[in-house]
Amino acid sequence: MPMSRQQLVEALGRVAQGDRAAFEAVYAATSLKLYGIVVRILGRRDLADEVLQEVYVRVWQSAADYDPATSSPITWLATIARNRALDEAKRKSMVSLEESPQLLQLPSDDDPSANYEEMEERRRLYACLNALEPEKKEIVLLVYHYGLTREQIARRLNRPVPTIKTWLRRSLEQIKACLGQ
Amino acid sequence: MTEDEDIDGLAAEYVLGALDPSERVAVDVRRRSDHALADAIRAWEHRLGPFSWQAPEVQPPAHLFDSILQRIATPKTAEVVILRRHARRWRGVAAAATALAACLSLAVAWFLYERINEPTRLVAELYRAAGTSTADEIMHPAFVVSVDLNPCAITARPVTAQPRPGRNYQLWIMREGVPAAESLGVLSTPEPLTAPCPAPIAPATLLNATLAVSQEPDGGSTTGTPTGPFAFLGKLMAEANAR
Repeated sequence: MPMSRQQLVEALGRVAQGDRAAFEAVYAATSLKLYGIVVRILGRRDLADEVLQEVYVRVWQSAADYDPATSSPITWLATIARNRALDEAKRKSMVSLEESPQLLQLPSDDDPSANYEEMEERRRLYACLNALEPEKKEIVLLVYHYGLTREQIARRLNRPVPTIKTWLRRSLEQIKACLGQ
Repeated sequence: MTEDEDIDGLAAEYVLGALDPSERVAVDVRRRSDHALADAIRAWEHRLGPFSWQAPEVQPPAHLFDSILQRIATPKTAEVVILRRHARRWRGVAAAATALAACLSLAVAWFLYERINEPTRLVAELYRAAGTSTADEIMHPAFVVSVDLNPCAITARPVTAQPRPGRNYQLWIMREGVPAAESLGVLSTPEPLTAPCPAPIAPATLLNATLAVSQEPDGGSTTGTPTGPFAFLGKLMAEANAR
């Protein structure tokens, strides 16, 4: 059940007060997205199941920490999911390069719950990403969506690790400058 | 390149997900006390957040939400407030009985929650946090630490860590809300360390705590704190999750 940004903010506020109905609503509205993030990074459903449970326990416990003034609710939730999945993936060196062939298939732009502000933020970020050279754009997406380390990227592209590190830092600096933030 | 730019680059790579395991744990530890790094991480989470909005949606198994509800079966503030209101409503009629029943219910619920959901064993793999890792150190942890919670006991086993003449490894724990590292004991490789949890450390505070190993003079740190940088880092997680 999609929720608007404002509905999600309000629901998280109720979760912070211990409202289980609101918690269930947040889960219904966001679990497909967060599970998608976690599955993509971990590549294994059994681990993803465990991690998703931990993510929502964390949401339940720390909803009071969410500040709508500093980030959108889906960014806050996705950050919790990504961090937990990345911790697990890095610990177990999970990602198989051969299992990530569809890396650059960008999702469709038809998220019905996105408001104008979110669509604009997304449009600006992808505009900045698209300003990078194709190989560097691929690296940024490989790392963000699959949590590949510099060493894994270097092996994939047959480049030295320091080169990958330099490319990543410069690409990120370029994105930051482009966004003007 | 300025110090600020270094911090910003580190934060950017952390948020992007490019750091290797030991670097990632090191940043997790450092961000707790380094406000500039913590602020830079938040800024990058905001900048790159829109990438996450377009993740593909995948239906999780139907039973997962029930499992989550079991895990959160601890009463939060609002439920306690409701219980208090109920108790006031019946004050003068059966206040003592209601309060007792509520307390018993909470005690039973808490007991069941603890029995069903609390892990009985935690595990951490500690990887090199500083310096250059050997191929073996990349593939395997330097130490594996397991904590049995009933009763609380720690076992730290060297895997790739090598003995250093005149030096000892010392195991430390950093828990949420505790500003300083607390010693768990001195390791004499290649022997594993087995010891009861220090009395001030409650088992319930160990999940997701960061473990670290420093190199100390023979016999361990005499100051009660690490005398040098942490050489190895890892996080304690429930064993079922440490497959």
